[in-house]
Amino acid sequence: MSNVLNWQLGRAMEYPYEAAYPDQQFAFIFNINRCIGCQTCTMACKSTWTFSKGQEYMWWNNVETKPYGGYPQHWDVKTLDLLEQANPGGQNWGGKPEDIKAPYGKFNGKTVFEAAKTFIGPEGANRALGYLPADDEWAAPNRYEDHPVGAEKGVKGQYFKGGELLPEHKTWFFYLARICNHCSYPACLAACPRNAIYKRPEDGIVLVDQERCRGYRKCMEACPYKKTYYRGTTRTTEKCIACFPRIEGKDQAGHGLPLQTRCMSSCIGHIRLQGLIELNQDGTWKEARHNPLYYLIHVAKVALPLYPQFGTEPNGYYIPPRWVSRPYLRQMFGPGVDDAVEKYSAPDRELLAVLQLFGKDQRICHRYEIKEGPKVFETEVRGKKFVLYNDTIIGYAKDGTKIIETTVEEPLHVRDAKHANSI
Amino acid sequence: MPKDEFDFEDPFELNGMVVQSRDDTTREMAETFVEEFMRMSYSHKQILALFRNPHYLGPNLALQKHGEPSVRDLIAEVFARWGKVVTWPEHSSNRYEAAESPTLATGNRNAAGSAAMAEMDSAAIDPMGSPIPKLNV
Repeated sequence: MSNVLNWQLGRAMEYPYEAAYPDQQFAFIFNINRCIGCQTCTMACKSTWTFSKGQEYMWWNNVETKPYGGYPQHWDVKTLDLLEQANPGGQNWGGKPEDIKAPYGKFNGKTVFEAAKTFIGPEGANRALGYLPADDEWAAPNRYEDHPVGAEKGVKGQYFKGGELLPEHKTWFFYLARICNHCSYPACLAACPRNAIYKRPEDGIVLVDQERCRGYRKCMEACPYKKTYYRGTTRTTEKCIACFPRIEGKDQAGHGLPLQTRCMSSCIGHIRLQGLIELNQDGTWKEARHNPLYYLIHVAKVALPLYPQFGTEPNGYYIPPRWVSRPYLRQMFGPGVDDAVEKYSAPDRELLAVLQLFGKDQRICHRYEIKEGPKVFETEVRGKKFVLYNDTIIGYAKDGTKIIETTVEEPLHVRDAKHANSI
Repeated sequence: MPKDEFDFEDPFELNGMVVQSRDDTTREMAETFVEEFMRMSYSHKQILALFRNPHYLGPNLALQKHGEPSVRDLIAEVFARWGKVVTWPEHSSNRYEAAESPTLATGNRNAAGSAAMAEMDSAAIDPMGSPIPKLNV
C-alpha cells in the first residue's frame, strides 16, 4: 500500500499502487434536477457498444430511480453497509472546507481500500472492500422502480391495461444516471490480479485489456459503483470505454475535435456536460477558471462527486436534486450538498450562463467566456435577490474553435419530424 | 413468462428502503422541473404536457397527487417568478385544451428578454412536438 492524496476526502489515503496521474482526466457533470428518466442515454450507449451476444445485461450507462432503485440492485446500500460494518459509527466527515485539496472538509472514515484489511478471507485480504452481486441482481436494470405504463403493443396512443393496479412508490425520488466514473484511484484496477485494467495516460480513461483479462471478476467485486460487467461469451470483463474514439477526435462528426460521449451528446434534457481536465502533479485540478467543469466543481461548487467516501476519487460529478431529503443527499454526495443546493436554487449571473453550456454541442468545451447582456428582470427567489441578465455565453474547443454561442434566454427550436432523429 | 405480460399472482415485491425523511417533497420536485424546463425555453403548455405524460413518473406523480389545477397554478407561479405571465383558460372542461399564449409582463421585462416568449407555438404538443395522447387507463 502507498499513500496517495485524495482531494475529495481532504486527506491522504492508502492505495495499492503509487500515485500516477494522466495528462488530462476525463470528467463529467450530470445535473439531476433536469433528468426525467427518459433513458435516451442508456439506449444511445446500448446501441453503440453493448448490442452483441453476451452483452445482454450490460448497461454501461444506466438511469436508476433513487432511493429504491439500483443496478445491480442495492449496489450502493450494500457497499455502504459493508463499510459501516468495517468501521461502525466512524464513517463521517469533519473539518472545514479549505482549498482545492480539501473542498469538502476531511473524511474521517475508511475507504474501500482502507476497510479491506479488516475483511480477511482464506486467501488473505482483498485490495478493496466489496462484494460480487448475484446474477438476479443484474437481471433487470429498472426492476421494481416504476410501475409499468408502457404502450399496448401495436396500439398507438394507449397504455397497458392493468399497469395501474401494480403498486407504486409514493415518496420523493429522483433519477440517477450513472456511467463508469473513470476514477483517479480505480478499485477495479487495484483488484485485478492480472493487471489487465489500466488508466490511459492521455485522458485517464479506465480500460480493460481484453487480451490479458481472464474473467476472474475481482474488478466486479471491488468496484463500489459496480460498473464492470462479465461477458459469458468471451469470459472476460467489459466496461464503459468513455467512447474513447470520440474523445480522441476520431469521429468524423467532430472534424478532428474531441467529441463528448454518446450518452452525453444524446441527452434530450441537457443534463450532461463532459470535459477533459488538466491535473497538477499531486492529482489536484490545475486552475482553469474558465473551464466549465472547473468552474462548476471548484468555484461555484454546485457539482459534487458521487459517494466520495468510497475513496476511489470518482470523476463523475452531480448537481444534487433540490427537493430531496438532505441527510440522504449528504450520504450520497458528501457534506458539500447544503451549499450546492442553496447556490443552485438561486443561481448567480455566471452560474446561470454556464448552465447553458449543458447539451449545447457534442464537441468538448474547454473554455468559456461571457459577454454581458441587458438586464431583463429583477425579483426575489427564495428570499434572495435575483437579477436575470440575458448574457451571451461562448464556448471554445481546445484549439480555440468557437463551438457554442447562446444566450441565457434562448429560443426553443423543435426539429421537424423528418429530422427528429438525425443525430 | 414474457416480460411484457403481467402476472397478478406475482407479489411484485417493492424494495423497502428506509429514508430519513418522509416529507412530501413532490411539490418542490414539480417546481424544480417547471423551472428547469422553463429555463430551457419550454412553453407552459409543453411543461404541462410533461406532467400529464405517465411515462415521466416524477412530474406525473406530482400531477396525480396535487391535481392538474394545482400544477397549472405552480407553472404560472414559477413563470411569474421569472417575469413571465401565463394565463390558463378558466373553467376549462377539456384537460387538453390549448392554453392562451402567454402575455408579456409589463414593466420590468424588456423586449429582448421576451422575444423568445413571443415565438411560442399555440398548439398543445408534447416536448418532442407530438400531439398528447388521451390516456386510457
